[in-house]
Amino acid sequence: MRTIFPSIKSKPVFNLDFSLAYAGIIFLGFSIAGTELFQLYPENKAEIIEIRLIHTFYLLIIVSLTQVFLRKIHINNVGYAGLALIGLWLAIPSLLVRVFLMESFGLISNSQVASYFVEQLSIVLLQAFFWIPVVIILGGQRSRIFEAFKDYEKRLVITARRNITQSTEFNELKKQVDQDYKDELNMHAQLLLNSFTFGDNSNLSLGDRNEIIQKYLKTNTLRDLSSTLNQKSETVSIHSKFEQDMHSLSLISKQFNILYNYVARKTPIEAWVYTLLSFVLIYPNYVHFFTTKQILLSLPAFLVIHLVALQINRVLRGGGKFAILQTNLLTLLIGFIPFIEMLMFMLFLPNEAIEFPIVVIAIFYPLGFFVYIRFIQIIQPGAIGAITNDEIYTSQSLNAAVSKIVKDEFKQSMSHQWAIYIHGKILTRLAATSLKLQQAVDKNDGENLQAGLNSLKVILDNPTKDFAQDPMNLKAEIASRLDPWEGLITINVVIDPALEMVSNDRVKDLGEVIEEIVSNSVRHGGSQNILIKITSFDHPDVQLMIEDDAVNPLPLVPARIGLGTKILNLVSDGRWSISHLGAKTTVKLTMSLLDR
Amino acid sequence: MLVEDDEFTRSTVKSALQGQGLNVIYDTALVKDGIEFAKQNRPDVAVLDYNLGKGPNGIDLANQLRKMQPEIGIVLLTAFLNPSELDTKISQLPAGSRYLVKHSVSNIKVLVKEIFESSKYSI
Repeated sequence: MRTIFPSIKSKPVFNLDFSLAYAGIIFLGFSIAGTELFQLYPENKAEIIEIRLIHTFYLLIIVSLTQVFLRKIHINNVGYAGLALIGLWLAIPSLLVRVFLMESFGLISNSQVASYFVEQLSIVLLQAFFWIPVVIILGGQRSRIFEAFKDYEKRLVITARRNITQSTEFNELKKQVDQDYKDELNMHAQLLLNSFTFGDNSNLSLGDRNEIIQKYLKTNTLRDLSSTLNQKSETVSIHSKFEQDMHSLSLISKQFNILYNYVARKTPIEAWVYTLLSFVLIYPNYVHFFTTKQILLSLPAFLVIHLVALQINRVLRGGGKFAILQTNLLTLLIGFIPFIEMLMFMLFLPNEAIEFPIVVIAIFYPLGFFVYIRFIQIIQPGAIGAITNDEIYTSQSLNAAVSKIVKDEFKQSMSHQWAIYIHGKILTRLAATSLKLQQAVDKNDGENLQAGLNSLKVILDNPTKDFAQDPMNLKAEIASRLDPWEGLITINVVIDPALEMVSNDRVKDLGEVIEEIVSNSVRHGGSQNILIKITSFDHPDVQLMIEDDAVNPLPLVPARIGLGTKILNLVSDGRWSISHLGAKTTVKLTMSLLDR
Repeated sequence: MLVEDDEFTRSTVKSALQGQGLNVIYDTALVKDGIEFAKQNRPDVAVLDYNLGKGPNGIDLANQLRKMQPEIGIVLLTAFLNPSELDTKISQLPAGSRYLVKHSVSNIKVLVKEIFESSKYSI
C-alpha cells in the first residue's frame, strides 16, 4: 500500500498540489505576526500589520504563479529533491522581500540587513526543506485521505446499522411500534363502531339510520389517522453537499477517539516524529530569542523529549488497559517540556532564562503539540490501512447517533405501510359499504341496509387482521411485486436458483426494496426496460442489481432523503449504490437474507 | 372500465354504476388485464382506484391508458380526504383526468357526473 510519507530510499514521486499551501501561507502569516507583534516589535504594531499583509499577499501571488508555470511546462510530479527545490524557490525570494519590507518600514536599519538575513535564513531553510514539502505532499494526498475517511464513514455506519438492527432493543422496538399502530387503529375503529350504535336502531326509518351512519362514515377519524401516517412517512430531508460533508465530519468526530486509540495501538508513530515535531516548532524561537549558549544549554531537552517519546512508543506497543491514558499524559508532558525547561532556567540559571508568556508556553504550545500528534497519528499510513481493512469498532456516541436514524427510518417505513393499509383496505371498504347502504335506502331495502351495517361491524371489529401477511418464498415474493407491472414496462428477472425457495421476513423486505426501486425508475426515470438480478454474494448476503434505461436517471448521491432512500438504508444497512454507464443506470444493494 | 383491487369495493361500485344506467363493460383487479382490455376495446371512460396494491398505482395506469388511447376519460378514486394529501402525485395525473375522494362515492351521482365530465376530455 502506498503511504503518505514513503521512505526517501524508495524514490517516491508526489503530485504537485498547492491547494493546502494557500491555507498554510495564511496560517504562517498569522503565526509570524503574533510573534512580531507581541514579542519582537511590540512598539511597531501598525508597521508589522502592513508588512505582514504585503508579504502574505506576495506569497499567495508567487505560489499561484509557480503553480501556473509548473503546469504550463507539464511538471505535475516531483520527488523529494524537486519539492525541496520548489521550497527554496518560494522561501528564499520570500525572505528577500521580507528583509526589504523590514528595512523600508524602518524596523531594521541598513546596517542590520545582512545580519537579519542570516538570522532568518535557517528558519527559511526549515520552511523550504520541511514545511513546504509537507504541505504539498499532504495537498496531493488529500483526495486519498478524504476518500479513505468517506469510505471509512460508510463502513462505520454500515457496521453501526447492522449492530442496531440485530439488537434485542431494536426487535423490541419493532414489536412496540407494531403494537402502537395496532392499538391506535383499533381505538379509532372502535370509536367509529360505537358511533354506529346510534344508527343501529330498527325503530328509526331506513333514511334516518342511513343518515346517521353516513354522517359518521364521512367524519370518521380513521381518515385523519391514515392521513397523519401518510404525512409522517413522506417527511423528506434535503441536504446540500455542504450539509452532507458536515454530517460526515460530525460522524467521524464521534469516532475520532476510537480511531485514534485503535491506530495508536496498532501502528504507533515513531519516537523521532515527536522529537522532530518539537524541534521544528521550537526552532524559530531559538533564532529569535536565544543566544548560542542558551541554545546549547537547552538542547538536552530534546534528549528528554526523545526518551519520553520512546517510552510512549513502548507503552503503545506493549498494549494494556491504560496504555492510551499513559501515552496521552506522556504526550502532554512532552508539550510541557519547554515550560519545565524555562522554569528550571529561571530557578537554576536565572541569567540565561528567557521568559515566554505563560499562556503561550504552558497552555497553547502543549495543547497544540498534543493536537498535532493526534492528527499525525490519524493520517499516517497505519491509520489509513486500518480504515481500509475495516478493523474499526463503532463508538457509543456513533452508535447512538445511527440508532436514532435507524429507528426513525423504521417508524417512517411502518407509518407508510400502515397508511397504505388503512387507505387501501379499511377506508376503501368503508366507502364501498357506504355506497351499498345508500343503494339499500334508495331501494327501501331494510335487509340490505342491515347487511351493510353488519359488514361495517366485521371490518371495524378486527381492523388489523389483514395487515401482516405470511412470508412467501423469494420467487413468489418477486413475482407478486413484479407481475402487476406487466403491460406497463418490460422487466427481466434473474434469480440465483439456490435462493428461490428462501422464505422469511427478509424476503418481504427485499420485495419491498425492489418495488421501491422499480416504481421510482418508472415514475421518475421514465424507464421502459428493467433488468433485475438477485445473486448469492457472501453468505448470508445477497446482491440485488437493478439496471434500467431511465431517461431521467437517479443522481449518484441523493440530494433529498425521502422514504425510498430510507427503506433502502434500513433494509441493506446502508450498503447500496447508484452508478451510470452510458444510458444505463444501475442500483446495487447488498443485504442479508437471514431473518433478524 | 373499472379497475379496483378490492373485490368487495369493485363489485359494489360496479353494481351502483349499472344501477345508474351506465354500461360497465369490464372490471378487474389487475393492471395488466386493464391495459389488455383497453387495447382491444377502447372504453370511453376508465374508473381507477388510486391504490391498487403491490406494483403500479392508479396514476401509473392512467398515464399508460392516456398514452394508448389519448381521448379516454379517466376518473381516479382515492380514499384520501383532499388532493393536497396526495401532494405531488396528483400533478402526475394525465391532463383531463378527474379526481374523486371515495367517501363521495356514497352518492353515486357524484361519480356518474365525474364520469361524464371526464369523457368530454379532448386532446
